[in-house]
Amino acid sequence: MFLVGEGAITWSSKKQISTALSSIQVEYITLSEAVCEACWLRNLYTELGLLKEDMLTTIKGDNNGSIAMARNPQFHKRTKHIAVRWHWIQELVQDGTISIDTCCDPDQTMDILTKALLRPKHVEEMGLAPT
Amino acid sequence: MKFIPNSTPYQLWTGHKPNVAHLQEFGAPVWVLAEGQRVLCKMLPKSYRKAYVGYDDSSKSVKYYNAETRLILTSQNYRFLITSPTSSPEHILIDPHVEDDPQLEGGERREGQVDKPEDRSTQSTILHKRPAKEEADPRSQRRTRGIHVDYRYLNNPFPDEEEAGIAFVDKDEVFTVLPDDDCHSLSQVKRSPEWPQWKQAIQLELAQLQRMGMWKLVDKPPHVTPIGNKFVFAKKHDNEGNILKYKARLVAKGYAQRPGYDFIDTHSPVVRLESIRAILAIAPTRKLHIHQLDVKGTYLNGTLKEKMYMKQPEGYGNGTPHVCLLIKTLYGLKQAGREWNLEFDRKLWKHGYSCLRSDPCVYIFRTDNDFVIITIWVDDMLLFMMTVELKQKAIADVESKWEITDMGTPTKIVGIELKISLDEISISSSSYIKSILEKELLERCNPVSTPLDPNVPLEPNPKGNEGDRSNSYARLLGELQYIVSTMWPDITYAVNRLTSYIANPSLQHTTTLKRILRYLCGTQSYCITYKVVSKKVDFFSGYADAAYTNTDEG
Repeated sequence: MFLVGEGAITWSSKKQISTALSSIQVEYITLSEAVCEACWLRNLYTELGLLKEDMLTTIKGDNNGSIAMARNPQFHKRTKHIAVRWHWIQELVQDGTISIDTCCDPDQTMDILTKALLRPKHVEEMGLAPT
Repeated sequence: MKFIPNSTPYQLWTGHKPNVAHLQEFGAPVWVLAEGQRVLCKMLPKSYRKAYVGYDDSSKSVKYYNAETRLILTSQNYRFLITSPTSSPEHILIDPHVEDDPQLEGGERREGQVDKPEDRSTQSTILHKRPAKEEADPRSQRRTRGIHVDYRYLNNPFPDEEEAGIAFVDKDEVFTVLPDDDCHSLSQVKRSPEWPQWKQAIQLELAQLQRMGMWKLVDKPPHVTPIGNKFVFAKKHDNEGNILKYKARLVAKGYAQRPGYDFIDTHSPVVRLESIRAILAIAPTRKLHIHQLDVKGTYLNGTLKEKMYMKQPEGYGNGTPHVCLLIKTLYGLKQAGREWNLEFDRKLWKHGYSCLRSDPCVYIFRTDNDFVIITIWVDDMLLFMMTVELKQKAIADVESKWEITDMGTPTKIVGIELKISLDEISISSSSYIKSILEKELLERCNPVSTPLDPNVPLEPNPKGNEGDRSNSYARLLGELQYIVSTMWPDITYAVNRLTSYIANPSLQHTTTLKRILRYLCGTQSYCITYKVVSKKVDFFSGYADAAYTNTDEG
């Protein structure tokens, strides 16, 4: 989900295409998918002349392991099976176009797209507001 | 090899025309004797009305469709109460699809072509006689009704008796029973009480086509099958349901076009909804002026590359055997959308606009520190500008090329409603949601606060046959997915879950679907609001998360 200010502009929720062995891998793949969307939005805004190339775009995830992996390209026994395509995110982070940030669960705007929520949480997290 | 017009291989071989009088229209009512009825009862009906599908290949039986069991069965004991519509010239007048159908030729010339009156004058005399005949014979009206059956609704191919009863009372009420009351063919319109208004609309349309130089009349070259055309009619309503405008449009029967000869590519892009939202989101911060324009007779502006011939307009020919050599793209042609888009693209580039790589339907024109952005969805244009002068320039640019309707500040674009004020923009889709709820008769349901109950796990259909097997489940989900893509992120997950059971929904899934609708009922007036964003390092930010879900979600 991408927001400008407080308004959501794009969102997506889907089943992942590959089987993951660990939660880190799952989150890592998700980050990678989000980065794809971010790249498109960056292109759009750059072409419109509203965004400078060197401006950072932040993507927030809630899994420290995957964030650490994206930031710091280390090789580890448990992550050696991850396909190269998902490692593309590391390049962008090193280029400085995308930054990956953490946020703890209550802030996760994304929960709305992946879970059935109980009432108070659901209303709280809606990007929508009554008029 | 020799080409002999108006004949079939069978006819050439045997010397006489095959008799096809026994062929019935697909879906025509056939009365089938009730067989294997367990309880013999005097009072039960002896035969039932079914939908005709075809004749059995090997035996003398007829194949019919049983809507209750959704099976196609055969029976030898059947009867068609009504004479075959194919042998009746009236039918040809009623059914717009049979008339002027250039596809039926050569060996395919079977149904609906037997006794077709060639001359238009014969047709019109029959047309005048028709109403008197209908009053005399109620059954012929029932037939009219039967022909309106849309095969998409084959679950109930025949209306129940009550509804048919209404149809008997007054011919015009037949149309009010139909899902949309727009008239479907020229002959229907001619019979409607609103004919003077429709006639005026047709004249207007023909005048516009003439003015735009759509075609020129030429002699028909040999070995050319001109494609047909028809008028489509629509009433435009305002928000209160009053009729604003009667609209007639001449459309070509594009289904007769042959790929590779008459058209090659048909793809035409439209602007992505994400792009519209992304630009709308920055509009308050940048104080952009927003303006909406609409091109009149959009597709008529495209230039046709292929050489194509069309018959003269249905019912409005000049009596000569000339055909129309099309110069521009008429509505209904397969390539019309593409040619319009190319035309639009070409003209805008000439004016110094350039399209974006990330979205080919977003155009930008830059001056030193200002810019104009134009997004185009077929013919709906949104213009975003920094200054009023640029706005005038942009409108003038577009106006110089095409006839446009100036819609002013936009209130609605592709189903998204916009509310624009100085420092914020809200988007919502309440009227679309309302229309869905009304269709499902749920406009007064009790709202719920969440789209999906977290305590009830969704399970696949256990037996594989309970629940709703009609396609209303899929249709509704499709409508909901459109809402998801336009503006409701909060039902994304619920809709996604339900779509995985689309092949075989159980009662539970149908109920859950209703729950989403009840949720939408409570939140239909909600909107996404884009406000002025104070300067931050981040222009936009994203969130990513994954969740472990049930294994049955495959």
